[in-house]
Amino acid sequence: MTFRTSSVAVILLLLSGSASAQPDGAGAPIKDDSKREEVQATQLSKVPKQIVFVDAEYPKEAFDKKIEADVTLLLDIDAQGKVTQVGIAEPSAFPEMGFEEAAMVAANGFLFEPAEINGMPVAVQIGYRYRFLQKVVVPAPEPAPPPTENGETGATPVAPAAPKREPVVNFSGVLLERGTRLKLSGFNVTVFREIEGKTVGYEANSNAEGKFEFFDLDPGDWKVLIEQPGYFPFRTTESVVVGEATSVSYYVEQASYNPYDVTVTAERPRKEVSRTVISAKEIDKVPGTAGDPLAVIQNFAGVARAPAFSGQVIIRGSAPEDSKFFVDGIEVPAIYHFVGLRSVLPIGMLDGIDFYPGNFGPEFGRAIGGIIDVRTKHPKPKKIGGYADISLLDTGLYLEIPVGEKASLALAGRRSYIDAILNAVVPSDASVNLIRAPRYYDYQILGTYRPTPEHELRLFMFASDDKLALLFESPGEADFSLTTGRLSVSNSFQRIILSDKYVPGTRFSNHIRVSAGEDNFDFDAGDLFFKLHWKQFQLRETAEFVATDWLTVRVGSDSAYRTVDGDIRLPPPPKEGEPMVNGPPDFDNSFATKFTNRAAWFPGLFAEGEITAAKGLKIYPGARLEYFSRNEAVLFSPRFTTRYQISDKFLLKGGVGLFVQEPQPDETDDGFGNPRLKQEFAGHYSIGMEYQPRVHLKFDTTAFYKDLFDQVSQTGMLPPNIYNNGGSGRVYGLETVIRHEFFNNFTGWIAYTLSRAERTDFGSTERRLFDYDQTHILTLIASYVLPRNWQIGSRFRLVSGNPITPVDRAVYSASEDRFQPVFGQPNSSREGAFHQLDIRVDKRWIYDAWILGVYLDIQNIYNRANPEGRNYNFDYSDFQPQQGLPILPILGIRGEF
Amino acid sequence: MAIQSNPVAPVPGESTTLTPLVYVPDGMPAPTFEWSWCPLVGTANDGYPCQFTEAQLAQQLQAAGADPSVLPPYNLGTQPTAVFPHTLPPAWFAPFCTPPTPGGRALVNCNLGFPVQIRLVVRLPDGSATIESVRTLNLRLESETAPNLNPVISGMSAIEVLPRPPGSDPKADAPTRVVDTTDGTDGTAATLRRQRNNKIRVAVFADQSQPYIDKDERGSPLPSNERLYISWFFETGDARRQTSSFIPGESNIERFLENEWRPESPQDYAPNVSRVYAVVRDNRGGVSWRVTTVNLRVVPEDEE
Repeated sequence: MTFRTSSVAVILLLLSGSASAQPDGAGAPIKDDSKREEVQATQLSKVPKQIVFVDAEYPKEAFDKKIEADVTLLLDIDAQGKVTQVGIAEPSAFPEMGFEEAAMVAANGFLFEPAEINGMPVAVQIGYRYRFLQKVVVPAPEPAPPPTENGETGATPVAPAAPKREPVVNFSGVLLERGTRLKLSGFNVTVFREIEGKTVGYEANSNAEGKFEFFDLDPGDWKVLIEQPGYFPFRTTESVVVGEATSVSYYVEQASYNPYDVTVTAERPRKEVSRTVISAKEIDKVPGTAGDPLAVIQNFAGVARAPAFSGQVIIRGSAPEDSKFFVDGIEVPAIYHFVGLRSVLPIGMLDGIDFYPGNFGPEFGRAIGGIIDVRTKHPKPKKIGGYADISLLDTGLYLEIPVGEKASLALAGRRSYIDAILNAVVPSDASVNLIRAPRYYDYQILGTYRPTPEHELRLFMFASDDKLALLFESPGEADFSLTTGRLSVSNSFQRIILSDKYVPGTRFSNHIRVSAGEDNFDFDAGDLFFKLHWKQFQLRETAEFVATDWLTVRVGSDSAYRTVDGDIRLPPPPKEGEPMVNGPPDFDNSFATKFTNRAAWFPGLFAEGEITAAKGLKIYPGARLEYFSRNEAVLFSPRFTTRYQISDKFLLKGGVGLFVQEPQPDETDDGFGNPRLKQEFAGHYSIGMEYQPRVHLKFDTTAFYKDLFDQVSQTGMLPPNIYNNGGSGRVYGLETVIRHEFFNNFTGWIAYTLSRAERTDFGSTERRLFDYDQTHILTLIASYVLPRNWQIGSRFRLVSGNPITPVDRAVYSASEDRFQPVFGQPNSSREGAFHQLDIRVDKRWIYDAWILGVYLDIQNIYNRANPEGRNYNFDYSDFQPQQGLPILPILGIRGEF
Repeated sequence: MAIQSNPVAPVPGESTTLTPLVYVPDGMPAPTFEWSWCPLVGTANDGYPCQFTEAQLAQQLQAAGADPSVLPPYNLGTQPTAVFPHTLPPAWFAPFCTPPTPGGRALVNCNLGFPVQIRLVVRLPDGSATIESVRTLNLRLESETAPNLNPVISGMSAIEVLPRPPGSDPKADAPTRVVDTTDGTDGTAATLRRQRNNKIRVAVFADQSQPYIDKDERGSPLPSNERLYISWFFETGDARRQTSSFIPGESNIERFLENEWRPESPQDYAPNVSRVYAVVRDNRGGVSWRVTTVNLRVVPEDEE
């Protein structure tokens, strides 16, 4: 029995740690083929991942004295992932023992998946801790089969002596990761057995294809042992027979398949005052989302709690329509299927979400609220894989396919079956029949092609379609103005995005995206209808120049063109501030409009500088110039943010900017609204600080103020004077986030927002509360990874109740046989507080060729009757609170292969 | 529960009689009535406030060259019924009905006539209840168009489920009979079962859905038939429908005419009789009603 060098720990996190020690305070040295340059470590989109590890020879004296040590190396890794230079960053505590030399020799044989910036491989320097630990691993080898002559296989028998004859491979195999079937390279395979009371053993490493080989093993039974950090030990016994070659496939199981330990990615660069970035792997396990990726947005600081089944996103006191959704920078009308049941994109297609609650950069415009940019993934499948996801709501499929060395294809689709369930449970004689119960589907096709390392071409097609059709037995019960009992709603959109990202080096990059698509909304209730059909085109072009060491310039265009056909006969849609009670709107007060091919241009240019004004001080002046064809307005929106890294742990930040958006389409329609309306404006002001006492722990606090002016407001008159720009408002508050990245098997965050959102309507001098003003919004998220692929998570939310407009009295309308409420001061009262606890449990079973995952997401586990509004009785003399979601267990199953 | 105008939409120079249907529970004193009207009102959310005072309206009439003395007083009296004379000169309300620009939208939709609001406040003398009720009265612009008639409920009937005769097969359907409850006071009132579903039916002939020429949103003539609605009200229990509707070409008239009613137990509703109200409306302001009284009985266990 002997001792060997230990396993090692790859300290990828040292990348940022070492970076912070560089002279510029935040740069990590990264070099290209020609010359070394200092760039931001955080610009890496991927940090190097080790794929081949070489055991260092344990210094004999230290070995004999049982001394263990750590050596921190500096590794230069080229764009192919090879180690080109090794240095000592921090010697061991025993420099005389030879640990440093041994580690440097071994490190020269390491191989990595290269680091990347925006998907392009780059050379980097990283810190790497090599740990020498003494540990009993295998018996000492006596006989010594030779190393392979085939260097390409990478199989490297370690201990055996040279052969006396031509070696013959008589035991070989391939190592695959259990569940994912990924080829495992750099794994140490040991065979050993007892011969005449002595232990004989050999070792080999698996190559990049996961293959290993042994030569000239004596016939008989051999015990096989595979040990690798992060994986369960694999043990088996194989028989070697004279004249036969034994070939095996071993499936080695990860110690944990939790979503955080698969890939370590560098943090994306930050320039905004407030931006929340969350990766798909984190999103996938957030409690309370029922497995839906974009539902996680509701847990961010600055996001108000939206009413159940509204599908709205309310950001920093802005109306839902004031915020915009993007997919890879291309605007989409919605990110949720109707009533917010599901996201329109599956988790498999996502890389992550960037959430900007305010003070966003000039690359985004036509919005005065916040921005949600959903980033799709850059698939690099090594094999055909995917998953099937089955829940009580729907079933989705996802497939990734490698296409040669340079291309890939990802396909996904999902369809709900709520319609089948509801049709089965709703009795045939019910007063409302579901002709087409809520049904949604979506699909996505993502193709990538990298003809050269500099170019990444992408084609992304996706679509969403929702439908609902009801048949009222007695439509008069709903409203006397209804001329049919049939009511149908459909909502769909599709987009195709073509993009090319060109990164010839670290000083210049260009990203162009072109999209086309259609949006359809169709509401039909006989004489009342609302039909809109848009054609949407968008061009987004962004070029980035690193002009000097202290100046980077980004310029681009964000232009949109749309045409719309419409046929509408409905009452004016309810506006923010208008009281909403149960019951239909006044259909008798309907307006009508019909138009075709109504075109609108929104060409926009933006520019932004990134100035390193002093050590740690970054300034981002920017501006956006936009044209609105409806009223031929040319508007200039200056923006400015700054970030000052005072020390490794402290950062100050602030921003100010002007934001503008077009009024809603109905507000400027000549049948429904006022075509002479101007654009709406908002000034965003924010200041904050970040404190990061540990690599995995960060405190982020931002105070914000939002000044809303030229807001569209109702006048109480008829079209075209029904609206004007006489409204205004203000929103102010404080957001605090404490985020614990995955560490010690735990991840989570606390988000707290203290805010007040007010509006002043046209003709009034008094401020009133915004519809969704929520003074306190507290969200706590925690997830803990347990052994054997269990994970448990919890979410708790405590939110102030929404403002409501009280009903003072009611007048009986004898014409319609119903009472009409007469309201008091708008939003002068408030509902009770909302609080809810959600629990989520995940378990994965790992089989050789696939993984079965099951989750149980229980929302509102203590069945809190949260108020979501009021259900008044027939004459509005009394009401019962509308109860939100009761306890709701959702079971989901996912099979990955 | 309803306000009927007869005629439904008076022509210039014609008066209409306004009659309310008011439900007053047994034992309560007779209510008082306050009638008024207003030509232009605000939104429902604000309680339909009157936009002009009488003096302002008189001034407008004078400015339009009309005699303000023809203006009916806003206060229409305190009698159980009221009379509204259509004396407003069309020259006064024509500007409200005319779009300011071709293809534009008029301030008031005058497709069915110039709409004025009738308001009725009903109070119990002891002040324990007050109901404020409004309805739209369309003042026809000219007498050439065919008048709208109030729809009529010709009869009301109920299906009685009778006790089984002694010795009859308990598995057989219980005997039933249809009772015309048109009046309900002549000794022929139906006797219906408590805590069971009872079928109630009204007779409304299909011709009560009158043809008329409507206008679409662009002002073009649009041949239409009236939509009919029945509001059901029972003194006790639950009904399958609060409202049933008949939309020609869309809905089934049989379902429109029928309802199911489940009276409460004696513990929850002590009287042995209950009034049943059916109010039929059309979509042009026509309305009428029928009220009957039925007897209630408890179903003995051996009748199950």
